[in-house]
Amino acid sequence: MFRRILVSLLLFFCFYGISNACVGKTIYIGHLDTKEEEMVSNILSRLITERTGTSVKLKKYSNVSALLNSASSGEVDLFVFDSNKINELSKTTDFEKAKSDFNTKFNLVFLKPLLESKSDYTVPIIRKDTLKKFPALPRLIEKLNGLVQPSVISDLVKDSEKRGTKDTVRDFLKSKNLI
Amino acid sequence: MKVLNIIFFIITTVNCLYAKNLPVKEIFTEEVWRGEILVEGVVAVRKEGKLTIEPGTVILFKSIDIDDDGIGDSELYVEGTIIAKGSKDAPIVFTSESNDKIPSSWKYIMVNHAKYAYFEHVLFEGAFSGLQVHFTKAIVKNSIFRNNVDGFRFSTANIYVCNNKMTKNRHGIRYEERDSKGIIEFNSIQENEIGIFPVTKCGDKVNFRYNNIEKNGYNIKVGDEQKENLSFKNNYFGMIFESEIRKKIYDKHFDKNLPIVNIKPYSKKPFLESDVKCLEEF
Repeated sequence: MFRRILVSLLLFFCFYGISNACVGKTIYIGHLDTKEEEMVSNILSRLITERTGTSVKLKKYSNVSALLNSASSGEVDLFVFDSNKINELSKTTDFEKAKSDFNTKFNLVFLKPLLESKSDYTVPIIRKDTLKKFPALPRLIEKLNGLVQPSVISDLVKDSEKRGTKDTVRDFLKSKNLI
Repeated sequence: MKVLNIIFFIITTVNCLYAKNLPVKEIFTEEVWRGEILVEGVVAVRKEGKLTIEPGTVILFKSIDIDDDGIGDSELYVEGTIIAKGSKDAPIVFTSESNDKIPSSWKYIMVNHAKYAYFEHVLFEGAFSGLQVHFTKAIVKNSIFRNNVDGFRFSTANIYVCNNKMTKNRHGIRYEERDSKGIIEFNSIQENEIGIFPVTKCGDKVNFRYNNIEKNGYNIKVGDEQKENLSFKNNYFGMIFESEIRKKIYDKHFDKNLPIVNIKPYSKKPFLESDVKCLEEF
């Protein structure tokens, strides 16, 4: 009887994997309701989809707390915060302290900052569970390091208003040989 | 304990289906489809079941999206046997019930741990994946995959794929080779965003040869987690000079962390209909 249960369990996990693989797992990227943040999320989304085949969806939030709560509860897998938001939430300007706080309090992991200058930074933040499912994701996201400066994003937003986000993001990533 | 076993049985066999409370029709015996068939929810051909589809049959998948993931939920799931043999004049059509036929209107034909699958003169359109084959021996010939996210997708399968047309899909062929084997030959893979997408864990156990892989955004694009170099010898890539061909192959030449796609020798002229010689036996 034990063997039958064991076999059933093995089959379950075997088929569970396939059922997830059938349409691919979906990664949810959260962002605040600004054109710039939406653009950064679209860039991440396109990069991940094109390079890994994984489906990505964006979720829009009206404030930082709501986004953080969603990430903490598993509704959002990945988002990008700058140091202003992190400092406000963690009540510290110390990057390492904030990183540790997010990890222990929210099960969220800081990846390598996309941008860094003095004490300012912009960092992708990912759920621990998501990281386990997609261990190669940090390496892929790192390819954007240094590429999403505010001036660049501002230009991309302007460009997207003329010819649409999809084409703008695709051409940006292609120009960097990232897709 | 018996109850526990029954629960496990249900979970193991239909976990993909029951999670969403979709209508499920199960086929346990031999069934023949002809004329027009509407699939609303899931049709599952169970291990002991055999589905034969006659030439000219049109299978319409109803566009429903209960889980709101942007992908239609209607699907054909095969664990037993499927024989879909259309003819040149009377192909079998798998398509969306809706008129627009946009990608992901329905989910897929999933052949998974099945006994056998045969598709000939079939049109797959408007799906997330036109056809997915896993852990199964399958033959796919003389068929068309168009307007799907993934036209043909496979993993750990024994496949023979000959003289099909994959066009206007996001990925013409997408695969994680793993322990697959087989031959993919004389196919026309054109005008997809990506012609062929080896996602990960691909080697050269499946032989891609004599295919026309051209006019795609990228003719071949290697997935970010693919480690081994790949060989796509004896295919036609729409151009004569290697430097031009390379511009449409996303590999180490674009990203140093990716492996190389070897293409030499490559054909300098397209394979014509008169060149096509699909194997009779596989």
